[in-house]
Amino acid sequence: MSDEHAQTSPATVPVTVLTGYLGAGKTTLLNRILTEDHGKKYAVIVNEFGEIGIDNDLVVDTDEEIFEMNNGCVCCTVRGDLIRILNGLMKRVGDFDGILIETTGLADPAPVAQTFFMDDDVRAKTHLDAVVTVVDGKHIAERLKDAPEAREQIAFGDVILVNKADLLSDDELAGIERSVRAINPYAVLHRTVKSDIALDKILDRGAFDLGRILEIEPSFLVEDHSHHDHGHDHGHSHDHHHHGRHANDMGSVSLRTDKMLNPSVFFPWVNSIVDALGPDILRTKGILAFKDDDDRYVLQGVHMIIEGDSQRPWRDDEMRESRLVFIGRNLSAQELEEGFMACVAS
Amino acid sequence: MSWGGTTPLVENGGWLENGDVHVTAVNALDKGFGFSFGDGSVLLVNTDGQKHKFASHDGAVLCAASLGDRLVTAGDDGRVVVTAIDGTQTVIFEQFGRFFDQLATSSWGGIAFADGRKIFVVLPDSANSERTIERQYQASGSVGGLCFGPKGRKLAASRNNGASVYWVGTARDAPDEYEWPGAHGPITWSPRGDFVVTSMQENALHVWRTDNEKHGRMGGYPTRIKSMAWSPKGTALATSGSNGVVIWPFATKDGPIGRGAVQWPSNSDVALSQLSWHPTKNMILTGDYEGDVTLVREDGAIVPVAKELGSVVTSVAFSKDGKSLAFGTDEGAYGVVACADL
Repeated sequence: MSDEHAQTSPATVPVTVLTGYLGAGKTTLLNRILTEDHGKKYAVIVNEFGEIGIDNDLVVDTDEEIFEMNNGCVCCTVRGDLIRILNGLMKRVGDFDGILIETTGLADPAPVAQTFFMDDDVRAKTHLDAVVTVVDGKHIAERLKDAPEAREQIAFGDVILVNKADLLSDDELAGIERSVRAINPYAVLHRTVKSDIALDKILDRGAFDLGRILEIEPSFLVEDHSHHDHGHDHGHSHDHHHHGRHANDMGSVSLRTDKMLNPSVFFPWVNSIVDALGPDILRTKGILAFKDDDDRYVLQGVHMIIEGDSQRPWRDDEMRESRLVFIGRNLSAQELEEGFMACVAS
Repeated sequence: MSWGGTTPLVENGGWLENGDVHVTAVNALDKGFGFSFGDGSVLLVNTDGQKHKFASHDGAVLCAASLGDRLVTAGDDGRVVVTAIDGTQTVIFEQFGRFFDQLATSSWGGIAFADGRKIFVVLPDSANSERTIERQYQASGSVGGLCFGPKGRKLAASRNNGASVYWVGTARDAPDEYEWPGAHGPITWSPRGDFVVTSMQENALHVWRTDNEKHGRMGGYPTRIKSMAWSPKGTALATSGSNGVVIWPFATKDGPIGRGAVQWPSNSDVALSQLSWHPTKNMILTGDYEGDVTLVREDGAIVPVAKELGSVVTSVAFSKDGKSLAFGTDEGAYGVVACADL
């Protein structure tokens, strides 16, 4: 890990959330993490001890319980059971190196993630490292049609395992990956068999760490350089256009400009966007270049909660440009793009 | 302004340990204090200063309460244990996999504990004075706090969207329900039995008259309210969550409903995490998020007890005779200090 990460990686306990639709292979993955010879100890929070036993000293069983705050807006929901259990686990800090949370197949990952931003005690002691989504490669095509939870879990994932890859042809896998990318362009995708994956690919990802936002360049953004000749400097994904035909679908809008932004226009705009579209925006990530500012500004958010920070000076060898990605439902690429481009400094 | 000098009390008339284990709680016992810790141990301290350390849980003590001269603890090992100062330990309940993070005792010796929605109650059987009567309840949401009523015959449990009051002294199963949207945590019952107050996830309190005729929201705090303490006569409730002590009036029929709070002056810009009201005097022991423990009076005068303990104060308590006080912090500082002269 380089120095630039150190400042935003506090000495708090990392928490990894394992999500995925029923039968995708979450518990198998959990047991792999626990049994691999890494010399680390984990506390595990599960919902109901499943049929497959969990091989660990510290397993806490919980009912997933959504707490609604401030009139029940989806953006202000947290997982009450997690607040309770994480606060309890923090009394024996030092007894374990990390916490793994396995959600049920039908769980919405948003309240889990928001818990780490909205509860001060949880935030003081732990940090959300990444949401790892396990996808059942064999059945995901159907699930994407009939299960909104499956789409949300993909939209939320920082790392997505396309599991049961041995049961699929390369063409089928490529098709699945395209569907997944259409929803979530910046997650890191892996093909797996029986949830077999090197642990460093799912643990210590720092996916919610402002210092590491967009560290891994989404591939489509690279391809999108060709879009610079559209007449204005922006880019958005091909996949979004494809999915844009379905009004209710989950998708993403990626914005880009190499002109410097005016912070006093940008911040009110992005705040107004998440205020207005918060329930529909699942994740936001951005790296921004402001006029008269030598620092890279990084931004990330879950629904209405956004946070940002000046991260580090732009390096000479990198292009000063601003990139912003929204993942969510019913997003109007045109509206977001116009708003974003209006933030360009004169 | 200081009425007892500016030297922290702990430097002349007490002791301070710096362990590296989380202090879950300190509770006043009949003749001393009981500390409980994140490594499953407990420390019972006599008024004569003798310390007795025992292992009570295989894991962390999640919560603790006083049972006369003994300490009750509940842990993430699924056990509820009563420890006496001679080292006698009684396991009240044991079930692997339970995560008991709520616990309350009544002045008559009742014990209630909860894991998620499940509430267990063990009452003293007045006929043979053994703890045999056990009741179980299933709350409609995870229990965020437990508190017995002043007579020990009812138990209030906070939960998602309100609180439920169980008639544990009778065979009646259905609780009285007190509703208010949102997540409710720590709960307290007024000493006269006429109000139940909860602290919510969103930096506010909620109060109900126990006859359920009226209720109200008490807001305006910068942080969550983790600690509430009644005045000696039960006519006022002191609360943490702000940088000064916020006190709500409960002397009249509607208590704080429709009325404002008073705040004892404070020079601090750090929010209070814990507080305890002296059993007879108008003075409050406070602990804050940066590890200062301070005695405060209504006029804003303060006496520092211990400064810069290095982490958030997790518990403070006066002894039952009011002659000493105790405190503990998140990262393991704890101590006992004499305060009889103040």
